[in-house]
Amino acid sequence: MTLKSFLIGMFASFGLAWLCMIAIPTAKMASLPPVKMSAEEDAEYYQRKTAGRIFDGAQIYAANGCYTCHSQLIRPTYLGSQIFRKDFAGVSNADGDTRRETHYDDYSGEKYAQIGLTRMGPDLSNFGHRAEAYAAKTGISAEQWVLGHLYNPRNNEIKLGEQGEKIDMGWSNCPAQPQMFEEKEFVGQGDPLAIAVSQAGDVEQAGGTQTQVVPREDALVLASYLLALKRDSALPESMDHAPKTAAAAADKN
Amino acid sequence: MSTQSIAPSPEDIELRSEIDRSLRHPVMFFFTSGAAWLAVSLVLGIIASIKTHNPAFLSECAFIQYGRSFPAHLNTLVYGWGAQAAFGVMIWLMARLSRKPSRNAGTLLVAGHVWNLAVMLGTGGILMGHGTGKHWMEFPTFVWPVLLASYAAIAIWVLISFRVRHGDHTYISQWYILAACIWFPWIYLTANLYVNVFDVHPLMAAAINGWFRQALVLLFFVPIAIASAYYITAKITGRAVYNYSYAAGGFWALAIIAPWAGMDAVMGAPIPMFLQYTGAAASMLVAVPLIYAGVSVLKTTSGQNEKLANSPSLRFTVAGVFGLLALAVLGVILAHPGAIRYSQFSLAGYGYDVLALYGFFSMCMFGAIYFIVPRVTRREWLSRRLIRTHFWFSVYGVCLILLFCTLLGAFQQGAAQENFNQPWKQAVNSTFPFAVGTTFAWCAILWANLFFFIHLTLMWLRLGRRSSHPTLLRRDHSALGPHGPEGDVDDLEGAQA
Repeated sequence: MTLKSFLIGMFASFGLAWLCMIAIPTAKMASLPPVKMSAEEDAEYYQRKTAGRIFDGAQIYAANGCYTCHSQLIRPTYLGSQIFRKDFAGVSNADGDTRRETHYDDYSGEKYAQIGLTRMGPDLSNFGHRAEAYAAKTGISAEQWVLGHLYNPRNNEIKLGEQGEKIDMGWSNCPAQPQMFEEKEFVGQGDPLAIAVSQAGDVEQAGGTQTQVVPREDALVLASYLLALKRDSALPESMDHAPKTAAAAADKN
Repeated sequence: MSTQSIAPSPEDIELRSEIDRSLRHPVMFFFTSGAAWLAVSLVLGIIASIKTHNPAFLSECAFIQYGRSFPAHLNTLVYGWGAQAAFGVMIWLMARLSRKPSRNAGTLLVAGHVWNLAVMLGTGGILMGHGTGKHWMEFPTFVWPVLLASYAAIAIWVLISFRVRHGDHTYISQWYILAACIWFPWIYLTANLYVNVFDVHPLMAAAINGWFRQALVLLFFVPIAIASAYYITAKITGRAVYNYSYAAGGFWALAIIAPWAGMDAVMGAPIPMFLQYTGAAASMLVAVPLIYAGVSVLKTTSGQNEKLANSPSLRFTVAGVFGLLALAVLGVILAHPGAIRYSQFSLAGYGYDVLALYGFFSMCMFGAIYFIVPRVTRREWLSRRLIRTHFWFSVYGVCLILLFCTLLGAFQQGAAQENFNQPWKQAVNSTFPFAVGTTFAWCAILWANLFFFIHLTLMWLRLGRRSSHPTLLRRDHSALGPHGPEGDVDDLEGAQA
């Protein structure tokens, strides 16, 4: 083997793979066609609507390594059964069934799709829906619930409603994010998003000032990003059967 | 030193010692700073691993919380230890095989310092919360051009020493090193440009990141380790590499298959099917060149049990080659589309990375280091007990990680995740015992490398034994003590002068 034939072989073998795996697919993925909602000629096109501070939130999500334990991918059924896990792939209840696989538009607004490395924690594709459902059960706002979870994922004090029983979260292996919160003095009613407020005994010791733990900007941005994770907007391949039947039944009556 | 079947001529000995002298400082710098990074990486790895089963552990320290310590652990393992060990072996092996002393020790040292500084800044960046969130590319984005530039300043001398080589024969190890030298910048530049600079589809960026990780293992770490394994086994057993005429075939098989692998990391994502399944097929098919290289190394050493028992270099290399075979088989199991539903989001990927980087690559590098360091420092290793501790604890650690992370834990965890009727709590609980086991394995590996680092530092300070008798792992009792007479290197030098 001479140096010349070696170099030609190197560039041919690597270059072909590089073209086929990197260069051409990336160029093609840069201009994906819009999705038509049905086969009809004048059918409308799918338009993804997102809210929340997605771009900044994704950076906080990345910098704190959330992707090392949480995935954001609902795989097709031939590669896994997470689509059937309750509230992972969408919402399925009496009103309908929005479950679907991840679509290539779902990461719009982000620079990098955080597919994730492991599922030490649950998939977050539809975390927004889960957080809202959870908050509704416990009687606090979804944002408060997410911030509380970031501050202490193993908080066993959250109750189901005023008089309900406590929810056992002690099994969670999620790391707490203390750097996203700070302790602040306050007067009056304080911050509505405060996590923990000092008790009366502590107040006397501290000379009458009350303190509370409030979220910093990082936590608010991250919470906004997480609550916007609702990747079940209707697409032709969604499991959206129930509402149609319900509507048809209503028409007949 | 190793026994050789053909006694080298005095000119050969002089040339070799001239080459060794010319590279002493850069090679020792890369090895020692690499070993220090390895220790840092292992400490971070243990912290991260403890947090997976005991999340309250040090949870008040934001800078080592799991999401930062885990990426920092892998990035220091790859760029701090792995790349630097590879550089040391690359420049020394290329100079020896090309039979040319280096005249650029100064440049290599400067580039090495820049590399270390960049890795340090990058690791600090991750721990301070400025990571990019792209696996194995978590260093803040200002780091990668610096790493690439200092890589260029190191690798160019490897290419030049190949160009000015003496003699017509080129060894298979030289081809592997030369190829790794060319592949690394291509892979690293592609990944960083596409993921960090160009405005590509977010899913394509994630897919290219998966390709990058697999390519870095298969086209940089694997070829360097194979080159070293071929060299060390041939040198110590004094035999030609088994089936040498086909070795080039093994090389080309790797070159043709490996660049297609890796995108199976994002299997199931809405990217073209072709990418996912070609990635999986290549990840499985790459077992062929890996097993080929592994078997030819093992065949070269077959029947040499005495040397295998005695020589630390050979023992580490052969253990590494078993790691290579395990890696090849695991690649087939884990990338199989039938297994991916369990393995994709479990600990398996991490186990595969650790097996590649520690079980195979690092073990081969240790073998090379135990061979090279006595030659460049002209001192022998101090203690065979330290070497034995390093060897056995490394082997136990790798086996435990293979068991807990890659096989049992991975499929247990994957199966619990797939069991969608049970609450998520069950998936978390099923990981617990394997997470504890992984911590235990990392502790064994840290224990091994603590001794390695101390031993290597003493050698760097030239506190090794002044003797012409190598430190072998087994030796008969002798009236002169376990290592033979002391000080005869200097006697020889005096006689020559």
